[in-house]
Amino acid sequence: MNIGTEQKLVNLVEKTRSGDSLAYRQLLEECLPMIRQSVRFHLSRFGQQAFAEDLVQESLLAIHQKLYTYDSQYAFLPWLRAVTRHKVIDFLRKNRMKTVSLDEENGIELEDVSSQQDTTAARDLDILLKRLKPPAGEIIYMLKVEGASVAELAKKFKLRENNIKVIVHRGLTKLSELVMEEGLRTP
Amino acid sequence: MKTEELINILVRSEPKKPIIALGTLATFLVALCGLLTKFWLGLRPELEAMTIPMSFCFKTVVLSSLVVLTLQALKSSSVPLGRFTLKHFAVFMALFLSAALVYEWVTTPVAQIGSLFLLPNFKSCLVYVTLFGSFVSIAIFLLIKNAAPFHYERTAGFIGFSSAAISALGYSIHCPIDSPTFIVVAYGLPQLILYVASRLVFPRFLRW
Repeated sequence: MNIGTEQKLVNLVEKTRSGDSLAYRQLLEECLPMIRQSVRFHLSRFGQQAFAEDLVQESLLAIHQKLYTYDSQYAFLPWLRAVTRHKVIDFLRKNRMKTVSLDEENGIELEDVSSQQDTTAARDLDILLKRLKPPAGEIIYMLKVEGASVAELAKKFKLRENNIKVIVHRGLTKLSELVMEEGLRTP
Repeated sequence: MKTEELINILVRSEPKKPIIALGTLATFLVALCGLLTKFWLGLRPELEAMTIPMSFCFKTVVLSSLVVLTLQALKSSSVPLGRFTLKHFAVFMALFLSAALVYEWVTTPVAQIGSLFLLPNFKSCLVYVTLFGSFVSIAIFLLIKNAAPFHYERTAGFIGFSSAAISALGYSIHCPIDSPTFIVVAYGLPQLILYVASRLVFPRFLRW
């Protein structure tokens, strides 16, 4: 990015701060392709390009709400990149917590599905987890869905780390069987 | 909603601005803590008699510097790519305080320094600085909540540090002990308490 663009953006920020709505529109429109490119680049590394436009909008909202935190003594583009990157990281963190992954240990693969199917899968998982002997369901949910560590779970349930691993292993095996049964029952 | 439509909506209103600057809020809070101390606990005897001892000036300089440094650290931590610009001043103050501590330990008997911690003033310092600081931390948190911190825990920790520093400065007009060791321990412990408490409580609410 050349110095002219940088200077132009800083000028637009200054005008925006003095209440020029046309400058503000121009600023957002100038930022839009850069945000889009940055978001797509980051998301493509995680196979989540489908959410790119949502994140672009989130980033624009963040600019609207946090523009006053930009110090005009410094360059604007690094600030813009930092805000966009923060929104992407935040999104990935949230998304990781919602992703149900049982594929590693028992060869069960959940397909990349739409949001409606995700909701159904989450509900089905909840039902299946409740069929496990307590506290296996809760432990598996916390470990695999919420992203808790084995050490944290051991502390919470007052068990040894090895016991947690055994419970998870047995629970996942049982889950696998339950999924197979459900699959056979479903026409 | 299309992104272009969002831009149309956003440009109808001006970008958000902070209600009050951090420095202004901090000045107001120092004054508030000072007034609360004066009317609730009373001024130290020398200040009641309208005299200002040099040792009190030393204490005020140390605590004011702490307020400035912690606020600068908080400000730089609460914005994207913020820079802490007072590194040299921080080093200078650390050296200044260390020199004062060494001078005190060389010139004053240890028992005399130790006896200061047996006085009721020590407990008062801990209790009131922590108490005032916890209210101050809520006010600062409400302001910083609208900022854009990247490191939530670090920022929350700085909220605790700066709150304790502000309340310590306000409370210092009541406490008659100006020993450097006493200042470090009696005003340092509430800093630590509020730092830990803030780090535990605030991070989850700082997300943006």
